[in-house]
Amino acid sequence: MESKSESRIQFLFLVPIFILFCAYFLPLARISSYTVFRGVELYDLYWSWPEYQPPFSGYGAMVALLMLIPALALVGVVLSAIGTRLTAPFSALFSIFNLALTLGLLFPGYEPLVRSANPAELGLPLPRPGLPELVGEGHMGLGYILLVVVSILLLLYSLYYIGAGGRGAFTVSTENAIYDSVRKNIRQYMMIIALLGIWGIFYVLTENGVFMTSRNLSNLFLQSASTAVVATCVVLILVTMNIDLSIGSVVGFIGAIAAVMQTDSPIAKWIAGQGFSDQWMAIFAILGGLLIGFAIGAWHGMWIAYLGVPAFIVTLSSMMVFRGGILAFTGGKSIYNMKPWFQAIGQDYVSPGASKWVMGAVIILYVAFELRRRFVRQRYGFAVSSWLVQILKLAVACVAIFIFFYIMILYRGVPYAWLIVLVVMVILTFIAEKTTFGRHLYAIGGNPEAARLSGINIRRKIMYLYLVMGIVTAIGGIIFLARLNAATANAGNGMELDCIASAVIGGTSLMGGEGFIFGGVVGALVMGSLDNGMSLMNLDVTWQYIVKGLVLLLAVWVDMINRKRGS
Amino acid sequence: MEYDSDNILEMRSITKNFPGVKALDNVSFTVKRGEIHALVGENGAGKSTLMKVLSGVYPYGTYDGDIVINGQVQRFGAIRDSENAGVAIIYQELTLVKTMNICENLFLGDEIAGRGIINWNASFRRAAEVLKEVGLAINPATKVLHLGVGVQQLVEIAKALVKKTDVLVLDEPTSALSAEEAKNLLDILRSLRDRGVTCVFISHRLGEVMDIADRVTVLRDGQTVATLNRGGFTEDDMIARMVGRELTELFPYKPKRAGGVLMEIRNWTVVDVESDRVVIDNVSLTLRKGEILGLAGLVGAGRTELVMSIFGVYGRVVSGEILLNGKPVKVGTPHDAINSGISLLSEDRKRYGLVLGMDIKNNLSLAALNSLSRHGVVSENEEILSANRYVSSLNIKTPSIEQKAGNLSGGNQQKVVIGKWLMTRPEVLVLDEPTRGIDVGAKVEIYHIMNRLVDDGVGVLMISSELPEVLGMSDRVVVMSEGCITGEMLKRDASQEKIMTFATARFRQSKAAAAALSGGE
Repeated sequence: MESKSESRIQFLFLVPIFILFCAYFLPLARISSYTVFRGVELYDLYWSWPEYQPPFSGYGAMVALLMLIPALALVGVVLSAIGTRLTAPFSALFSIFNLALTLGLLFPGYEPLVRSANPAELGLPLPRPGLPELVGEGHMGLGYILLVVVSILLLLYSLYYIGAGGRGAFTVSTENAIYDSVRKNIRQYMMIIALLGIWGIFYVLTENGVFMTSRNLSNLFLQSASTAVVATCVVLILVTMNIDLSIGSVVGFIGAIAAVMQTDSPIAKWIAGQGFSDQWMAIFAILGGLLIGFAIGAWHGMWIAYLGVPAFIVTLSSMMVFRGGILAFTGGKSIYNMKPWFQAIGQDYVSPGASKWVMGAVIILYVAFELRRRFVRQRYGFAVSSWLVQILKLAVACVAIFIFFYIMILYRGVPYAWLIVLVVMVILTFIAEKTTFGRHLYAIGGNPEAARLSGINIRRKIMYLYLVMGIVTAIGGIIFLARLNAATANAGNGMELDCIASAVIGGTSLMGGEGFIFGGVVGALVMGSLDNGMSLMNLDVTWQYIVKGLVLLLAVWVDMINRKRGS
Repeated sequence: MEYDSDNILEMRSITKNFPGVKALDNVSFTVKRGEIHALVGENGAGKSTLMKVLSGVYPYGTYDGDIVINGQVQRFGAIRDSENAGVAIIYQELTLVKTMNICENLFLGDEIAGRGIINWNASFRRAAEVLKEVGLAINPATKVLHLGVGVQQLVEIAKALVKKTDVLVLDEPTSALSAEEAKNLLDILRSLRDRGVTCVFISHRLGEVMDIADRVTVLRDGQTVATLNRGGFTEDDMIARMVGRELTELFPYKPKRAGGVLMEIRNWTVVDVESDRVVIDNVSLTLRKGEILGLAGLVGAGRTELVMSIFGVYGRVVSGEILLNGKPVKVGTPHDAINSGISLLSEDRKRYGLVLGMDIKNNLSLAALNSLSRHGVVSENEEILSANRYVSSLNIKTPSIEQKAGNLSGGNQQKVVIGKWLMTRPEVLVLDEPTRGIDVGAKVEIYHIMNRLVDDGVGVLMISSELPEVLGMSDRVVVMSEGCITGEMLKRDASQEKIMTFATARFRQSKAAAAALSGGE
């Protein structure tokens, strides 16, 4: 009874807050989104395009202010509305920022400052409407007064939270649900935080913070694409307590075959002689690569699953065999000049305009799937999280998707290679979490004896897994070749260690039975960021190896401590 | 207490508690210098616990009472300390490094060496001497790998002798040996005794005990029942003292009307793949619809091996067939077994039953995942639904089905494994030690679950080493000993003495047969 009446009080509180929120949030959201995005764009322009000259000295500081104040104000508003025990003090703090911003808007110099930073005036891309168009000249006076009043009210309200023991709009159970979901997925969150942390460190360490430009981040993503693709499947291999040491050689081998099939070799000449166009030759090269990958997977699966040779030895053997195979196919020479269609896989971008549509589709699909899941669960009569929590979850995920695409769009759009990464990631995640096959893999890794006694045919599952691994490695090899546009004798050297390290950094346990696909992708980005950042710092390759090795060690050690504490 | 120089080892009023269980209750155990002293008792009587206290596996401070060796009170912090005091224990599972040769094994951890460099000449000379003491004429450079179990056992004894052992403890030394090997071992023990080595001999084979022991101490329920002197007792006297545990637990036995024959095992013979020993010898067995068939026997009688081989996960089946509802079925893998309606709850739930890192839901559905999925895609909602159903019907105490199985108590873990097998809708449910290591409340709940299953027409084959449980829950009892079925009785005819007689039966018979043979020559 008590909780019911409590929630009604909460509800009564919510109504005026909601009205205030709308009244305040809409204009603020427009202004702050304008200034935030303008700030990001200007900042990015400044470092990505050398021809762009800043309008005045101290410009960087102003951009930071533009970005910071509205962002903090927005956070303040959101926190005020959802105030929890934890956030109440912060919301008060941010309400002060609100006030500062709204009062700052009254300052006559503010608007011209923003206008002066309009890149459109410099003849560069990305024209944007000015501030007055957004807020509307006619409503300026009224809007500003409203903003000031509301932010004072919000400040009082958040002070009241603190006074009232920090009870906000969330009931205690809702708060607990949020904390629970954070705690349950702590490893996922930690990884992303670690990635952002590494980015932050490189932002500080690289000259002029050049690491954090869309151009560099886009490059970084493109460089990591082939590792990321392969790492997704390495996660599953490690989950079953197996390993694949042959990735680097197989990636190089697939690349050599795909290269031979489309440049001036006897095979390629024969294909061209049949009257096939360049496009078809690119497609044949891709299909050939996939087929060989499948065959290599079958070879590994046969030895590991059915003939009982440890995966370590089988793939160590392949590591040498296929390195030799590359030499046999290329004759030790490098092969250049892939077909344009083929190169596009590793070098080209979906145009920024189309990327926005892709982003929209991804977000809509994601939200639709999550909501459908929710409704189905409700129909089965299972407990679902409250709408507030649900919307928060969706919002966080959507913001993450948005930031990813936004970085890409700011530069040239989404690389085709990353579309492939995303598709492979989604498919493997589906396999891992939704299919009997995936469940069996986790059981085999968690306790092979129990899995066998539960009627799982371990050999067959491991065979299938290596077939999938073969195909995924082939995809990685194709992206790798397309990006470099050259098949060389030592292509892919050492890539297996990058992939295994990515999976492990991404939270896959080497003891088997634990790991998730998304982690492999984030792990690949961590490894890629280390490479990229240290190159930008002009650090020697020597140091790159040393740092990467130590980061791997550190990541696993931290993970083991967490695991111990968790169990 | 007075120091009696005749006594090489005295364990005085040893009490050892485990959470919820008093494993040893004021046990006194005295061994005289130069005797062979047998220690007997049913499964769970406390023999192993007592020996673990003696060897320092349970260090000083975790038990009450004193260990006195040669008149000195000992405080063992670790196994190493007891070894230094002259106690060597040889366990059932041999601890030799198979890839090393005999000589390396004999001195492992205690090498004859000067400044860290092993003196191989001295080592081999000493090894040859010790091997002669245990009656082995064998090159010490032979790898242990190539030795039979009986010889390995003797090498273990030699290893103990190398360490200047005063008290040699043998835990079930003959259980894996053939009759001849066992006889040879007993002869060697006698000759060692004659040379002054004191020996504690733990065995289920009461015939051997009669044969070799100078004195016998009987344990029951963690207490010393009696110490008997050679010549002053018979095998039946021993059995009478071993059994007789109080039926303290309430068994919710329900009389049932058993239906027709559900499963029949015919002439089932299984060979262990590693040692090539016949483990199950021509066993035939029937299970009826709606009955609980108790499979009793001492540890090592081959009960677990029998059901594991039926389930397709143990040994090489040499002969025999399985009939389900009168029709022969072929079972080569657990998959086949589950599909034909046989499910096996194995004795070690952590090793064979659960994936501890997975949540309850995934553990429950693991064996029945195909029935919960379409085109290989698991219907998560159906899965949650049935997981919830089993959690509530089996009364698994957990905040949610997303709790990891490793976080549950033993009783609840066991219920999860039972639920996993119930999800496969078995006709025959084999329960191997279903209540091992769980508290009394959970035990009674599991008995109720068994009753409900039997009401639904499932045939339950229950292996249990707890005689009261077998007597309390089974409609019919089959007793195994050394891979054979030695007795079968209905509930009303069964008693602890009777089961124990059958459970120790076969060796006596074969010995009698051997005696008859040798007498005939």
